[in-house]
Amino acid sequence: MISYVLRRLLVLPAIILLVTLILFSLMWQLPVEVRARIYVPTTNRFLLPDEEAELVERAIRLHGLDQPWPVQYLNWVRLLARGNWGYSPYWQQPVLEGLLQRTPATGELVLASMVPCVALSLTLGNMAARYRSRFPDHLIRAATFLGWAFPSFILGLVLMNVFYAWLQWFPPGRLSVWAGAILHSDQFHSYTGMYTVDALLNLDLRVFWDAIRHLVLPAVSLALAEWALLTRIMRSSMLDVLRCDYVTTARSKGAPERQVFSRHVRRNALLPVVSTGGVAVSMLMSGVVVVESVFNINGVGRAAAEAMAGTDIPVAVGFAVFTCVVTVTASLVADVLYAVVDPRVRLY
Amino acid sequence: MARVESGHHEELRKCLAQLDLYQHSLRLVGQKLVADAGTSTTVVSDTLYEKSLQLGEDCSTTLRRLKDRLDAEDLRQCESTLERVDQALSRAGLAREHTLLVVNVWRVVEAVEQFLGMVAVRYGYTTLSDRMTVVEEEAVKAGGVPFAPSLGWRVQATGAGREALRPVSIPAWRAIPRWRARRLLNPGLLLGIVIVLSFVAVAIAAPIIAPPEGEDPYTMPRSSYRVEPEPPRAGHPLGTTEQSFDVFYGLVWGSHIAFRIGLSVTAARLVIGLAVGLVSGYYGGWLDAVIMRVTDAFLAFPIVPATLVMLAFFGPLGLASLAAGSGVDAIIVVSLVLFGWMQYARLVRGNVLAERSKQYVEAAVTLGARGRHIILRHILPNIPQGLFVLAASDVGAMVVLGAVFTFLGLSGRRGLADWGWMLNTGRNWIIGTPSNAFQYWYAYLPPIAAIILFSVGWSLIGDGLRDVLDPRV
Repeated sequence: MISYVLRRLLVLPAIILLVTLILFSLMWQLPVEVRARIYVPTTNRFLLPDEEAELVERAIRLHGLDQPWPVQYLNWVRLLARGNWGYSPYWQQPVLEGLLQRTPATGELVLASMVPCVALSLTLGNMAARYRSRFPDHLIRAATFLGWAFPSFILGLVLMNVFYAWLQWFPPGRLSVWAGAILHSDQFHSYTGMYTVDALLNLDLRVFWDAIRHLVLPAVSLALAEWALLTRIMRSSMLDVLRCDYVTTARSKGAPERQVFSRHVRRNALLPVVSTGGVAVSMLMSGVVVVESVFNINGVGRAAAEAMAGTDIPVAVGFAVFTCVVTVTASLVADVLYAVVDPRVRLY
Repeated sequence: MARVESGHHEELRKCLAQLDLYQHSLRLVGQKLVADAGTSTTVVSDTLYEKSLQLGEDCSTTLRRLKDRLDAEDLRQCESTLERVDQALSRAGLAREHTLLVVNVWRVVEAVEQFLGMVAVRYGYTTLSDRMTVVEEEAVKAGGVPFAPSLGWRVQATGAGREALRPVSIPAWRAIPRWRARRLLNPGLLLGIVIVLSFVAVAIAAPIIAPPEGEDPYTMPRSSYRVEPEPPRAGHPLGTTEQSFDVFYGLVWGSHIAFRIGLSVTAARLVIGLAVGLVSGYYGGWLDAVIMRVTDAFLAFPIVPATLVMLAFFGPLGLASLAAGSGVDAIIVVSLVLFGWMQYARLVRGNVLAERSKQYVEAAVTLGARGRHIILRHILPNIPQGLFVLAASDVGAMVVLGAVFTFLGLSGRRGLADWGWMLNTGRNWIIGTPSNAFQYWYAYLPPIAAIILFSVGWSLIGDGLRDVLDPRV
């Protein structure tokens, strides 16, 4: 198993090389001044055109943007690795700093939606397969179809309309005003930037409850499509496994049904679900942009989309690198998990 | 390759047929056994036991009879298979109450079957010009009948005489048996087709039911400059949006944009995926390795962020295409294709790999066909499993994705008759008024309904097609 994981790790540099090359070849289409402006720190101070031209000129010389493309590519990757991702004129701060500062909000949303989503899809997929072609199965299949049909931004709008405007159960944003005041007061220590976790660590249940209330609607809109996808895959892979000869064997030798499921079926049925992990995270990164924009959550996705609407090239490049890092890491983790779950991989 | 007399071939064929029959009956017996006794039996029924042993014996005698006619390489494999059979038989004979040992006989029979199939390919089924068999002669008499249909292969007579015989691959859609064709009348599929066809009808009738007022049909006509959306009234059957654009007009012409984005993106993805997957799967080796790594690299870009980045980089080009009256942002289309062909390529590659190892491809290779010919004439018609399903649901998904970018305001222009753009202004009114949350329903409900109906229609078609083409699920 270790050698399998190592071999997967060996592919990683190739993937990183290709991903950065794809991104670089897109960047390459931009004029050199635009690419140089990535590294020009624009402060609030108004710059005269001459001054700006001089700064751009200096950035071109400093980072070798007048060199042939392989040199430029290497320079760019080197800067990325050193943490110099450029300066965003829209955010008025370095790109990497801006991204990391907004990551906790996004992370909180992702955790709040994915943990229940994965648990629910595994159990419901299991249930649908077990009661195949009976009522629970039909119900779950219809629900997954609907969940798949509702795009997250439309679901977000509908949920807002019903649960915020009409029933007034859940508000948008991340916190109510009063809770925000507590959060930014001196008595409140910010440990992680995730409001729910911080509120618990500060033993402030009222803020915790408020943060949870704000999380429900975005978490649901982010999770529904993923839930539908994972449930469908879990169900069909359970059915595939149930058809296998070794399950028939186990049944015909008289193993109790519960043992057949726990020992032979469930673990093997998990494999296709694990290998969808990469796709699911990719969907999640797309969903985050949309859901954060709809619910006005100041996370990475919304901030980047807003900056990009103002054609902020440094943020565009930085955000692309950021999402790629997340998806590549996620698919690596999925591979390792696959090795852990799959007994056959251990033979390598 | 050794020349084999036709008696030998006949024998092989009989063996294979017999094995098939046995396995089938065994499976039936086994199923009945499980069904009858519930799941608590450890007793093997007499029939099952006897049949298993008989099957094993048959395999053993067949292999023994074949032995002296095989060449060295096959002989070695034959002997090792024979050894496995005998071992399994003797063990099963010792302990009949032990189910696993009996089941083991079936496993070994599978190995025998595989071996015989291989021998059959090597000696009989590959080149037809000099090795006619009884089966094939019968095929000629019948004017080309499917034989070995599970291999997707049939023999077709294209003229007179033995030389005119050709192995022909059966395209997947023609291989749908009649009982499955009946399931084409699947209610979900029908509903999906009805929904999509009604969108087609609306799109075709657009110039009549909502005649454009300006030069560019993709701009909604506006009646005033009022900020507040207004409810349905004469002349505006579905009301007006923010700044008084006609909702009905937007819905009708939005269907044009939806079809243009959905069909063009899906078609382009399909073509690229097919080309990449076919080349990668058929040639294999380092080319396959490189192509698959590139595919992985593209998969690292989630579609929405990737398209946002493309819009930030090249946005003006897309806006230019909007301004030119095409109604569809060129950058969005390019980006959805560029970062979305991978799933098709992987699917096609998988199917090609599965097809490649089949006998009809081997037959084509032995007959001396060249790579391109095999790919286009033999493999391509046999790989659409799953492709149509993916493509059909993708058309709807692309429309949803396209709407995301106009909804976020990263593309589009004021008054664009696009469902996403209508929602971009409609979302401002989603809260309604304090007394009535649904006060401005006409500002957001119609485009929401249109987007969902459109994507549901296509995914119903996709799901229905899967049910028809893949009876397992």
